[in-house]
Order: sequence, then C-alpha cells, then structure tokens
Amino acid sequence: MAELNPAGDPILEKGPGTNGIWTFVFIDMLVFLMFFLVYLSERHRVPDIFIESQHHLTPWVALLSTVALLTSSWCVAESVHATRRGDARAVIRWLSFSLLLGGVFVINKIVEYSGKISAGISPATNSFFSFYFLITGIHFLHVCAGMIFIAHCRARASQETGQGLYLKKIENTGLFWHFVDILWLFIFPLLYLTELAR
Amino acid sequence: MDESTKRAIERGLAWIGPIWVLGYFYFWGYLGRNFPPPNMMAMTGQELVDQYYSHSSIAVGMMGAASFGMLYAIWSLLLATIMRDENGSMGPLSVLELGGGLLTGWLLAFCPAIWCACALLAGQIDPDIIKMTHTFTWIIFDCTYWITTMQMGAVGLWTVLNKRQQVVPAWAGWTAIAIGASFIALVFMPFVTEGPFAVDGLFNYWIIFGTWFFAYFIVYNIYVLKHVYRSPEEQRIALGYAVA
Amino acid sequence: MMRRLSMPMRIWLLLMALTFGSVFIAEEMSGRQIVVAAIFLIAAVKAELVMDHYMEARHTQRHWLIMYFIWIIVVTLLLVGGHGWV
Repeated sequence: MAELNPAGDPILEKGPGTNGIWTFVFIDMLVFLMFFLVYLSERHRVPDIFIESQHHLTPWVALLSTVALLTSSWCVAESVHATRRGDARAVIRWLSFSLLLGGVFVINKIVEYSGKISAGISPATNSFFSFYFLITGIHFLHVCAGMIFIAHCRARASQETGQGLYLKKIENTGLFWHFVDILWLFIFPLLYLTELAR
Repeated sequence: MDESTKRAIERGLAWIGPIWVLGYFYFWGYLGRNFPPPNMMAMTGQELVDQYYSHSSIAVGMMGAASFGMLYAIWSLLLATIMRDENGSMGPLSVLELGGGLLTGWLLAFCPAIWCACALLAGQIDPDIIKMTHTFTWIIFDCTYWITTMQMGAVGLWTVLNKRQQVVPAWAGWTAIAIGASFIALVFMPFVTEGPFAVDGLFNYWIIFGTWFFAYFIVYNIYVLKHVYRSPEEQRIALGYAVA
Repeated sequence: MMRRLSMPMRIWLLLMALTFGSVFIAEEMSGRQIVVAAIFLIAAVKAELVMDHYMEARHTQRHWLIMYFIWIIVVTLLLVGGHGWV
C-alpha cells in the first residue's frame, strides 16, 4: 500500500486503489470464472433440470437486485469523486445512499431465499439449485463484506477526507464494490434469464 | 546448534514437501485408486465392495498414505517457523498456520488408516458396514475443510499483510486465501449423489484438489525451497528484518 | 440537461437502459440462441462500462487493464458458447 519517504509522508501508488486490491479482485474473479465453468458443465450434463428449475425463480426480484447494485456502484463512484474534491459531507451522503441500496440487495436476497426454502427448495433439491444457492450465497457474502468496508469509509469520512491514505482506502473499497457489481451483471442473466425464451 | 546445521535441517525439512507429494500421490492416489475416489453416496455397500475395495492395492495404498500423511504436517511446521516475527516469536498467523497444518497432516494420515481397515475387512463383514465406515471417513476428510482453510488463510494473510517480506509474492497469498475459501462448497458433498459437488465431482474433487495442489502447495513449496537456500543474510533481507 | 449530469450518473442511466433492455429481450423475444447471446453481450457491455468508468481501469497499471478486459471477454464467450449446444 503506502511506503514512507524519508520525511515520513506516505508514497502512494498511482492510479485508483492499490496493487493489492487489483490482485485480490482478479483472483476472486478467477474463482467465479471456475464456478461459471462448472455450472455450464453440469448444465450440459442435465439440461432439462436446469431449464425447468430456472422457471421457479422470479426474474423481477433479481432485476430489483441488479438495479440496487448498479445504483449503489454509481453512488460509490460519486463518493470517490467527492473525496478527491475534499467534500466530506458529499462523501458521507453518497456512501449512505450506497449502504441503503446495499441493504435493499441484502433484504431482497433474504426474502428470496426464504421464499425458496418455504417452497421446499434447498441446495440439495437438484444441481441447478445447488449452484443457485452456492453462487448467489458466495456473492452475497461479498456484498456483506463490501458493505462493511463502505460503512468503515463512511465512519472515517469526516475526519480523513483530504488525506491521501483515505483516498486510497475509498478507492479500494470502490474497486471491490464495483467488482461485486460486475459479478452480479453476469450472475443475473445466467441464473434468471437464459431459459425464459423457449 | 551452529548455523550450518540449522540451515541443513531447514533444507531437509523443505524437501519433505516434494517427498510428501510423491509419496501421497503414489500411495493414496494411485494405489489407493483415488483419482478420483468412488462416489459412495450413489453406491450400495455391495457395489462399493465389488467395484472399489475389490482392488488389492488399496490396503497397501492406504497404509502408505497413513505414513506419508504426516509429512505434510512437518512441512507446515517449517512454514510456521519462516513466518515468525523478527524476535523469533510466533505471531497469531504463524500459530494458526501451524495448527491448521498439523490438523491437516493428521487428517491425511488418520482417514487412510480407516480406509485401510475397510479394505482389509471388505470381504469378511457386512458390506453396508464397510460403506458406513468409508462414508463417514470421507465426510470427515472433506467436510472438516476449515483445518486447511485456516492454514491457507493464515499463510495467505501473512504473505499479503507483511509488507516487508519478499519470500512469497502477494498474488500467491491472495490465491491461497481464495482457494481456502472456495472449500466451502465441500459442505454439499454428503447431500448429493451426482454432479460437480459430489465427492468425485468436477468442483469438489478436481477443481478444489487441483487448485489446492497446483496454485497453492506447489507455489509455496517453490518459494520455501528458494528461501532455505538463501544465505542467512539474504534470508534476513527477504524476511524484511534487514535492508539490502 | 445532459451536460449537467455527472459522468457516473450518465453511465448509470445507460446501465439502467441496458438492464431493462436485456430483461425485455429475455422475456419477449423468441429464438433461444439469439436471446442468450444478446443478454450476455449486454452484460459484457455493462461490465465494461463499470470497469472503465467506475473502476477507472484505464488509469491503473496496463497489465491489470488488459487482464480484466480479457476476463470479461472470456466469461462472455464461455457463457454464450456454453449455452450453445442445448
């Protein structure tokens, strides 16, 4: 992250965020790539199960999740711009919105899971639902982690906006949050949309 | 103990990593016929005995695995000593790695010992008892994955958070954390009889074991071997205790 | 009016349009192969927009920009191709 020059000031990397987060996010992206690969191999093996099972999901629920996450990403992007301007109040405002929208995603997901489980659908029902719960579940954990980072940035905003290290911190948080968003952009059509046109 | 003896011990212990690979692959994998293992959740006791335990190499393979298993623990203990603080004390990450490595090594030896018993008794007792014993051993082997997640998380965090060390690059640390976390899919193993999350499935066997081996174990073995062949001064620099 | 909107907001409007567009295509259009290709291509465009304008990938080290971009391409090809035979 930041080394110190002889004067004791941090030497910050150029470009948004730090090398560590770009590395971590890329490896995480590779893990999800593997999930997608395994999903497709299983779908190829038992296509009828996948086609039929997808119709038990409700695309408009996932659409709400998509809208919430995309809007939340916009808010985080605005908060980074606000940090660069040194506008702490705007930073707090934008981060608050992004947390709210993250909360919408979380509640939506919990409601969705509860609906499935009370309808008797679980990860053991068939392999499509194993993937459904696993992929969205691990993604959900990433959303929760991202919200913790955002909440931390929001808590430190009034004191630390204007500092180089805080800018790196919020950029890193943003990068992680946008990655979580990008994953969902592919998960949404994969799990909810592909079998609707038949 | 003089320095050259300590270096020699370190180097010997570092080579235990590759020796574990050779021994375990041969005994557990090849003789034990675990490339991949039988899908016992989809088999009756009789099928398991007829199709798997009928092979005479399994008892020997599992006995070899029970011996070689603990070599993994030995290698892990060396890794823990490399992760020590500058004053020689073991920080929490070092201890977590040690604990995880010990437990993983124990498991790698303990479960094959049970499968060896299954192999020896397969022709003599009720096949359903063989299946029960075989199955709960596999559930223990797979589903206590946190012992390894803990180890990989600890060494991964040390790799990433210890900014001064140059023994292992940061990408390898992130990879270790990611792979350790991906083990969570193993919780599905007992509940499915086919597909990628079965005991022999594309994800729960090939991808999890494959990435663990190629993207974590081999990688860390290489960097540990490089480290133990450095001079004491170069080691201090690599660990961030001294400046070049 | 467009000039007074911030860049992130303009991108957001585009992302919303593409999102609703892909749901419309999935629900209303027939022809599975085309629909699947369309929705994943739209996802790829959206991902690229997020990567470019929110993550600001053009300002990071070049190898990350390339590797992230390749990931989007590989995932899109995989998902389209993987649905191609059934």
